[in-house]
Amino acid sequence: MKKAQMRIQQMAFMIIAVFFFFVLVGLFFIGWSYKDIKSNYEELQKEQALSSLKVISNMGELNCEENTELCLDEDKLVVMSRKDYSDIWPVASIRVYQLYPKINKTVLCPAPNCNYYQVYDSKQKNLKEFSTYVSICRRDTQNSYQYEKCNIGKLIVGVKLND
Amino acid sequence: MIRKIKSTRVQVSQLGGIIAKPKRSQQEMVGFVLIVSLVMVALMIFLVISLRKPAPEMKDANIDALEGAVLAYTTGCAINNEPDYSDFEELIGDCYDNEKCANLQVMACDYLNETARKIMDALYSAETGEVSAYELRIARVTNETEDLIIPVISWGNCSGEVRGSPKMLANSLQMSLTYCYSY
Repeated sequence: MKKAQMRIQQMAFMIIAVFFFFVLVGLFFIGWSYKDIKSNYEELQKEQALSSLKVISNMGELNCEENTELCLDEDKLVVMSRKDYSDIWPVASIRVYQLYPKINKTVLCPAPNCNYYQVYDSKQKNLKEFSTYVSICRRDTQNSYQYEKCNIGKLIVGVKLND
Repeated sequence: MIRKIKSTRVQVSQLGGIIAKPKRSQQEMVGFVLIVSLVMVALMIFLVISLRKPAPEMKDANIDALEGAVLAYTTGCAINNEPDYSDFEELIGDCYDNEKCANLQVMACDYLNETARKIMDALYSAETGEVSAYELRIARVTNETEDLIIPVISWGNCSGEVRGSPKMLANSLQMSLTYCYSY
C-alpha cells in the first residue's frame, strides 16, 4: 500500500513539474510573439500618421502642380498662410518649415528670406503633432526660361486629441 | 506431492516477483527518459523555427520621405546651361558619368559631396535631439560589389535603434540614409 502511494505521489509530482515546464515554455513563446506584435503596431501607427500627412500634402490647396506626393507648392503656401481658411482643413494646425537651404533664424512667411509657414492654427491646446519631410517647390524664371526650384522642408500637422 | 507443488508454486511466484521488479524500474526509467527526450525535441524544433525566420526588414517611412525630399532638391549645378539645374538625383547620375558643372566649373562629384554634407548638417541640426548618429552612402550596387560614388558621410556614434531606407536609382545607383535614434 505504501509503495503504491509513493508511486502515485511520484507520478503526481512529475505531472505537475511537466505542466509547469510547459507553462513556462508557453509564457516564453507568448512574450516572444508579443514583442513582434508591439513593434508591428508601432510601425503601423507611424504608417497611418504618414498616410494622414500625405492626404494633407496631396490636397489641391497645397500640392505641387504635378501632383507629386509630399510636394508643397511654395506660392500656394504663401496664399494659404495669409488668410484664415479654417473651414477647409480637417486638422487642428498645419506648419511648414524649410530645412535646406538652411536659414539660421526662423522667419515667418511671407517675408524676404523666410523659412516658416503658419498655414493654419486653430489655437487648440490638446494636440498631437505628426511630421514628415516634404519638398517645397516653386516656379522661377531665369534668362527668360522657367524652371522648378525645390527645397527640403518639414510638414507638421497637429491633430486634436479626444478628451 | 501437493506441498511440493505448493512449494514450487511459491518458488515460481517468488521467482516471478524477483524478475518483475527490475523490469518495472527499467520501464519507469525508459518512460522518464522518453518524456524528457520528447520535450527536448519539441524545444529544439521550436528554437530552430524561431531562429530560422528572418527578421522582417522594416522600411522607415519617415526616412523614405526624407530621401525623396533630398533627391528632389534642386542643386546649383547645371551640366549644360543655366537654368537647367540638376536635382540631387540627377547630380548623382552626373557624378557617376564624371560630368562637370558648367556654370560652377567644378566636377559634379565634388559638388555632390559638398552639397550632401551641407544637407546632412542642416537636417541633423533640425532634429530635436532624438538622432545620435547618421550615415549617408551613395554607391553603385551590384550583386557582388558596392562602389562608393562619394565618400560615406557620417556623424556620431550609434547607441540606439538604427533605422534606414535604401533607395534604388538609375544605373544600379543607390542612396542609403541611416539614422540612429537614441530614445
